[in-house]
Amino acid sequence: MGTVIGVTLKGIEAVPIDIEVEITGGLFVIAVVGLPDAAVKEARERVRAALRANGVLLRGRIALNLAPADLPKVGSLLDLPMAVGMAVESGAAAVDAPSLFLGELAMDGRLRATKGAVPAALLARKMNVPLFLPPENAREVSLVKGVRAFAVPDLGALLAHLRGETPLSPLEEAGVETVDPPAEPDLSDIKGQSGAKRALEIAAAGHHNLLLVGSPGSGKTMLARALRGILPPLTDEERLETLLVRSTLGMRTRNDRTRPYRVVHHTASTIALCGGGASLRPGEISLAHRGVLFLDEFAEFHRDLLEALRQPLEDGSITVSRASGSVTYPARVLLVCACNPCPCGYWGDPLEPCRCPAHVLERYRNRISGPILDRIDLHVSVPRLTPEELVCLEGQHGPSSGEIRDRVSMARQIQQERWKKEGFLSNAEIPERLVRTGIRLAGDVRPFLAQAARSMRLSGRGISRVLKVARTVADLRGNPDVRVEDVCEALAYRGGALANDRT
Amino acid sequence: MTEHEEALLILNAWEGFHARFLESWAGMGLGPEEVLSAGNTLWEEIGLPEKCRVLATRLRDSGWAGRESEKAALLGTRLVFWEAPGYPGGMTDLPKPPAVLYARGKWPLPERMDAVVGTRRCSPYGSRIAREVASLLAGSMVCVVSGGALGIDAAAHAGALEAGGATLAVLGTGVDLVYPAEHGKLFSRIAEGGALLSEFPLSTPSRAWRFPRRNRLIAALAGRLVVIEAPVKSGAIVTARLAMEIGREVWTVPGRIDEWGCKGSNALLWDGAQPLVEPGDLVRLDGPSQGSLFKESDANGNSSPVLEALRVFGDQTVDILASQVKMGAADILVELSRMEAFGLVRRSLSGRWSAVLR
Repeated sequence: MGTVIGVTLKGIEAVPIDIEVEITGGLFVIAVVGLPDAAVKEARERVRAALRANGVLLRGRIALNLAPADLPKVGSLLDLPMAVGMAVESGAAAVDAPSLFLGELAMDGRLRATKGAVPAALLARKMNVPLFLPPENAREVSLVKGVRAFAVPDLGALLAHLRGETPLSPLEEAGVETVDPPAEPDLSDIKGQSGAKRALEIAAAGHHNLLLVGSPGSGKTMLARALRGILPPLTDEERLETLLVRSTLGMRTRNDRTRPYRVVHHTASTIALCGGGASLRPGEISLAHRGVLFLDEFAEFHRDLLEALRQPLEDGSITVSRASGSVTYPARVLLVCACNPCPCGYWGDPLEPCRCPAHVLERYRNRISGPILDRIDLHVSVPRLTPEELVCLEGQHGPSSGEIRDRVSMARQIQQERWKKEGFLSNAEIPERLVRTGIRLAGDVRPFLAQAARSMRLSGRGISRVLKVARTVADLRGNPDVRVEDVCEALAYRGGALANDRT
Repeated sequence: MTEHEEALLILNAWEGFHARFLESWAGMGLGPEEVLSAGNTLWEEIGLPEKCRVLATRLRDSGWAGRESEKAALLGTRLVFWEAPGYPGGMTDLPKPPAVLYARGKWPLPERMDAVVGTRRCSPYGSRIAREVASLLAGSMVCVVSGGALGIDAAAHAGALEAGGATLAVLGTGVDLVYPAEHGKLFSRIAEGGALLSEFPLSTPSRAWRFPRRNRLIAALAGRLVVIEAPVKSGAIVTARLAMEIGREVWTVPGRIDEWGCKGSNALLWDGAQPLVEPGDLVRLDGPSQGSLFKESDANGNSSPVLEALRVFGDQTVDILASQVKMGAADILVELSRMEAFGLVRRSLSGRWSAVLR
């Protein structure tokens, strides 16, 4: 590998590109070879102008090879290494040790922000080389530990640094701010719904998928939004994973540990949700990695869209394959779905009668309950309260989002400690095998579970779902072994929320 | 098949036909076969409408009756004719009894029949009660009659079959069709453990007007009619009215007064229906138990404040329970699930819980 190295993105992975330049006599021309795309080809003009603006005049025939030659190079992030390569070849600067360069050039030599700064930083860390990058990307890269990075304001400053005239100072690692996520609405502001609030707490603690079913106006959406305020903070490792996906799309990054929260509208396309397109960009499910993916009006989503979610929900990652290649993105989301109990929305409502004919109810139930419901651990009814009941609850306040978040964070730490050896971060992730062997039960749980399975007609998958949730409940209560009371509570979130539900 | 039967089959294919025609023709000294073979002149004289005349001519000349009876035999369907053995006696109480019945499955069924009917859009509570009442009846050797529809009807048939008893589904389509389509499995189970009955020729499709017509057969067949959850405008109320008109005993399960699906069945109480307060009353020989209040005891000794609150206040959400018994939501859910596992409480509609009375 040479000394001037650029990168190109393959999914969330940065691939090193060797920049080789040869300048010979002849008419002035810049030829770029090595499968450049349009943006890379056009870089010739930007690079030439930027070098000229900084006093480097190019002459003769300039051949530029981007190696490996058979890998397609995408985007404008190769501008800077190309410029440095030409400057070195023409004698305007010298690069002694291999270095990574990243950035798009303006005609006057300033550097513009690019995508993929975090993947490049990880690559630089792995190769143990310094990284030069645009100042606008400095913030996200400073969140990656152990990288020797330099923010370069313009090409002139970089050349001066390389010549040893005015050395740049390396970026300092930014400490992570512990900003509390916004609690809007705060859980203590939501009247009643204590059962659903408890389910939110369990979902946040164990990263369990959640289904909220209730009549219009019962507060499903508000509850789902309140989940944001009680999610535990991201760990360093998780933060880096979320940073990677965002950086791949060139999105702004926050300097705190707030988990992603993505709301998807039911008109979204499969590509928008799962990723894809010509450039194999990540979808919402990857942007929500380690955080929440919220599907409001779940019943309105197209069947094939929901089917597409099945595999990533199971595996925690999604592989996007197209003619142009295949890329794997992380997709470990906490799926929150909200829907009405029946098409008109008033099935079981105390105030309004349901007007749906029997066969419509049947069809609705069949449409929603498919394989995707099997992957949702917590099913919760959100009953609409009558005015009398609301009055009855007047003046009662539950715990605030902050208090709940503390409990949730504590429970999450216990889980991370327990599954450290297996490499899992939450109870919801653990596979079937570990459910049977890794969850310790108190002595009287087995007979009780057998009784419950009989009387509630639980399937094998149903039982392991209940056990996972019970493990989280036990973690919230601080029980080292799962007790009967934990299993009992887990059973309450089992099903029966939809109209005509026979479970 | 005799000529008489063939003629009945053909005349029955016209939906306006009923057995009272036969009685009036008998007064004139005419049998159905004679009427059918006679020409238009006689038909006009005895007032058969145009539609019937055209249909009867076509069917008679194309040999339809033979084919129909062959088809029925292949399906294991028995044709039961007016005044022939096997024709249910209760039908004669109707103002317009059917001339031919198609019975698919076991026939004849036990003499004692009770009907269990109600809305298709029932609550989980309604379907549970229908099931329990039907099993109870089937357990005391009564054949459970219903309409084979979704909701209460389906629960009643299933309950009778579960108890190993006979059940009869009276259909508004031909007995070879399955309507609603999701009842294929249920219908084949009914045909095994009882019968599917219809007055309509084979392959008659479902039409809205055929169901009220079918309801009169349910009313006539049943000695007693139990209505479980019926809104004001519903087939079950039609059946109940018909049953009262021909002097059948009507029972109704009292429901909550503010619930749409109980308005009709509750209103029946005013019209003289018996309230079904204790399912056991249906099979008790000495009549309904009265004054049985204040004797309920908790046999299990499984008393908790949550259960007490549910028993006293009925359907409740977790919130209300929490504020009544001063416990946290999580603890309430633990209690509820524990009791659910032992069958002491049940989930009722959308996020509410109720106690199971025993």
